[in-house]
Amino acid sequence: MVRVSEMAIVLCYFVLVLAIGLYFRNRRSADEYWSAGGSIGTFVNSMAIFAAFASGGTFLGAIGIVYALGVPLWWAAAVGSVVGFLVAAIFVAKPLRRLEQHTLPDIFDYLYADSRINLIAPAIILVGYFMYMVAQLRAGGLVSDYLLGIGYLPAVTAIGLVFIAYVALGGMWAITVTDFLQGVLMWGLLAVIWLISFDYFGYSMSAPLSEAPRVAGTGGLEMQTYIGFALIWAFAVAVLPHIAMRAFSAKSPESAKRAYAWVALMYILVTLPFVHIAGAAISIDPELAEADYALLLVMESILPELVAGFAAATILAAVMSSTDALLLAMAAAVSNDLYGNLVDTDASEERIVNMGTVAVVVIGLLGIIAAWNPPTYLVELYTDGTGLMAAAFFFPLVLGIWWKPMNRYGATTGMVGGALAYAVAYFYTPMFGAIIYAVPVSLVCCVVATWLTDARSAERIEQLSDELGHDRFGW
Amino acid sequence: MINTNRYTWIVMAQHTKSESGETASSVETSGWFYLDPVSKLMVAGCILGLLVVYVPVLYSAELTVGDLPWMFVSKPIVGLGLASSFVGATYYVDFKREGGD
Repeated sequence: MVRVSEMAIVLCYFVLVLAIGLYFRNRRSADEYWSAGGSIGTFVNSMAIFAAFASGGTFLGAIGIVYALGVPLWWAAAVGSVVGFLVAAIFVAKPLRRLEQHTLPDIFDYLYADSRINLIAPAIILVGYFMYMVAQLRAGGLVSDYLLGIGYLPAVTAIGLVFIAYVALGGMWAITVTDFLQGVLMWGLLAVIWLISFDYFGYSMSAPLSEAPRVAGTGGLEMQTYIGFALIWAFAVAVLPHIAMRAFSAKSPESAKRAYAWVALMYILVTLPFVHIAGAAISIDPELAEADYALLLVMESILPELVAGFAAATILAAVMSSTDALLLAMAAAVSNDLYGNLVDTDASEERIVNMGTVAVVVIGLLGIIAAWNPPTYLVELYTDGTGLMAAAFFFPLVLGIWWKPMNRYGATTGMVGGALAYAVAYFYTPMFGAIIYAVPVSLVCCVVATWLTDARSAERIEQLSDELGHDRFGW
Repeated sequence: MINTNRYTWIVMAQHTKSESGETASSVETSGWFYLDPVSKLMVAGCILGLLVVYVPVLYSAELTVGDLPWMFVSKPIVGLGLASSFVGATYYVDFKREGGD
């Protein structure tokens, strides 16, 4: 049965984000559409990055994981994400922003100017992010089905069409403003659910551990799963295209670095209350058939109806704040990177942006169709999509910026080697374990291929040092 | 009187091209671009943090502290410690650079 009050709140939210998209519809230069003109301040950018990173997976999938397997597994991802944001802040944030580019493949093109890399990098982004997007859409569908009662298929379709509309209209400007709004909503929701869960346990820090002891357990998983889950995010954050695009949108290199640092702190803080929330879910019903419903169970059981409506809108916001950024990154991969850098290097800026708008619509519709019948495991799906990109891109990017001899042969071999190693190891390792083998393979490929071929010239190294900002303030 | 504390932070956190003394004809073509000591310290902290979380459980998967699993206790402490020290260092260095005491 459709729940009218919750539905009304969600519809109001949809109208608001569409209005934001419409407001920014005339910002159509490449710099505005892909990077919001490089003018976003630290506070807004921090919140927008947080919202884009803390996806529907963080809310639904994470509470589901804690409910079923214990909080140490999710905190592996949280610690990995903290390390990932700090690594990104140290090694890539400022150099990326200084280059005034629009996408991660643009950076690879700048570093290596190699047509093979210009093909491989967007292709890997499209594969990895499509998995990520389908997982997010599934989360949105689950929430809507459970809390609004409108059915999974109509919910996924409606959510998909709304975010396609505002991304196509407003590009990075619309995404940044909606993501900021979504970030604020997410913090608000978490505060409310945590307070109510805290109240559920009589404001005791230790009660969840005694009443629902499996919340602190290690779930009987293999150690490779814990280590792999942390390493995926530790290596991925620096190379996630939708996070890198936020560095390009920052108002200065220093602002990009500060924003990354703040997100690291926000992300670990946001995961701490999961013990109480998942503990409440276990106390209410320890035998849920679908662990991803644990957060929804808590919301439905202990939140007042009106608050539950806001909560539904907020989880949809979490889904949409990630999915919109993924969609823009994929559209950029098609129009800016594959078309603009490879097929027609003389294409006008207007043509590339228009192609990007078409790509947003086409990829978004394909994502909706794929989400109609998605795989079951939400977190596993998007984490492996992310792991694939981490294995392929981390060392080609970081070594390209920091290791003087690194050349295009090393980068190409590292990308292909890392991606293939991840794909092969996926079938022979426990969940999330593939990254433990794939990243070292990528590193060895980068180093060996570079040693066996001609290193960068002194002039090129001097140019890189100047343009990447190695000769300016370090910290 | 020189504020040595402030001076140390600024030196650790910055370097300039003039200090490196490299010209186009004398550029090193091997090795790494310069990374300041504060960044190196934070990278070392990140590696150390991951080792602190995982090395003990590699030797004893069921390791507990106060009846709680080591992986339950260690991760939030390490995560919070790393993130807050990084944010603190970022703003402290900027504060010192701008002449704050």
